[in-house]
Amino acid sequence: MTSKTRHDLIRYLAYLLEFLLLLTLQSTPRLFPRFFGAAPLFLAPAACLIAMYEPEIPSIFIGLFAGLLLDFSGGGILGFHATVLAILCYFIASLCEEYLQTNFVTALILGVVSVFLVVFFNWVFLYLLPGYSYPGYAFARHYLISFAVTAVFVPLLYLLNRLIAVTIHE
Amino acid sequence: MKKFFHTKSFRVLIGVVVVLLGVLIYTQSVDSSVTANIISFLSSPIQKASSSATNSVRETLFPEDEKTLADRVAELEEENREYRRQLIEFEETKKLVEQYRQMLGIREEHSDFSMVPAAIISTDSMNPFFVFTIDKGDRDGVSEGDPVVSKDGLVGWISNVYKTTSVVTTIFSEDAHIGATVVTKRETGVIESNIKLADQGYVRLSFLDTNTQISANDLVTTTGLSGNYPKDIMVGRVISVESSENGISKHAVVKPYAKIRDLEDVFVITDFEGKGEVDASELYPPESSSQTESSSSENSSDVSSLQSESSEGVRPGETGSSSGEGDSGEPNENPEE
Repeated sequence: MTSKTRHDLIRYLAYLLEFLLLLTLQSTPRLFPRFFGAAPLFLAPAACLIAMYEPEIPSIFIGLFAGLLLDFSGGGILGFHATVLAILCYFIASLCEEYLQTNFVTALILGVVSVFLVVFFNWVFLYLLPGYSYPGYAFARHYLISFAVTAVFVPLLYLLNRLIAVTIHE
Repeated sequence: MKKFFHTKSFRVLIGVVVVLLGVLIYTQSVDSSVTANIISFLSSPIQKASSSATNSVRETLFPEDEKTLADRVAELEEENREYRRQLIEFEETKKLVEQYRQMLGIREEHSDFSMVPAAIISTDSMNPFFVFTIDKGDRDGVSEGDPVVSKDGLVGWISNVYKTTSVVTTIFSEDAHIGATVVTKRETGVIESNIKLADQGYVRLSFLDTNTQISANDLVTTTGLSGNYPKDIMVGRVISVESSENGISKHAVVKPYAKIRDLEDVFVITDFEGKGEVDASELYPPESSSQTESSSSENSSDVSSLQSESSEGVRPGETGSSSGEGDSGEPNENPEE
């Protein structure tokens, strides 16, 4: 096993532990306070921020795994968040590889935009399209607040994932 | 741009998306999922441990004040650690005993119930209707559509089952359509909800007659007519009676007895007397028309014939939809039965 492969494996293991920790934080009842009834969604921005430091193909699977954890912990459609995050992580990885410099500002923008997209697609496919009532109220009262609460943690998640990506690297 | 679509990574993405869409369609059409069961098996122990630890810490006493002398302080610290450890063990045992006592209490009231106690290990961050996951699944005898109760009353139903965990949809969900009755007034309706009511912690008893006698503080229980829920499970207390949006019926705003947002433990009713059997006799009492009399005397479970013959403003039968699709599926179509 080469040094690069070993470092990659350790880094992915660190990401796996990070995902399990974030899943525990966001889904354990009464562990993390809810703001106006909305809970933060740590896994989505974490996966997207990791994709800024990883190549495209590993980013797809990182997004897929984070999405599967999100799907499983909720009552929605299995595979929905996995699909959304896999695609998002791929495009973020492509952007950062070709066009964007990875720094705090770009991480903040990409993190916030990706959280908004995940929340928006969640609202469209799991609330609006099934035909539930008061979609505007649901979006403003639950989904937007969840987005806002999650966006606050994007800088922290960026610093954590930057630490992992830079430290555990050949 | 053209080169972008010919890259290896883009092809991998397309492949992954196709597989995920296949998984998505497959899990929507059948009940089980190998992927979900694997993830459930891996993550549920961590979620269980985290939930248990959080509850223990919240119930633990704060450490006592320490004395100033160093030796006495060290001795007391050690003693304190030992007492705290014993207290945590005691609280766990006490909780278990209380859980079994509640289960016994419900069993004594409803001796025909088969129940599985379960702990809530995670909640869905994105779902506005407070969907949660419990630590019991298919291998514990839980199946899709099983009612979920707490010691106070009805909580919801099992909407997804995996090997070691299950997802519970609460009565706050817009998918809830549960037959209920106010026994003292002999009136029936359907328990429903929407996001605005759910935010306030209420549900509603819909399809009441415009001349309804139901009033505030009346007790609402399940009818058990459809076979999805046992009879006489406490649902809640009427807060107010209001005219419905359609203008031809009324609904009652009901406050559930179960403190759904503060629950730690629930019970899944895996079997009860009358499960899966549609009982139309209460909807069509003997003094109704001859056509409905023959239906009730035959004890018909043909829901479509009930729907065509119904002449009352009450939706015949109950439904407990198990998916997030917003449909109200018929209980007898549950493939687990």
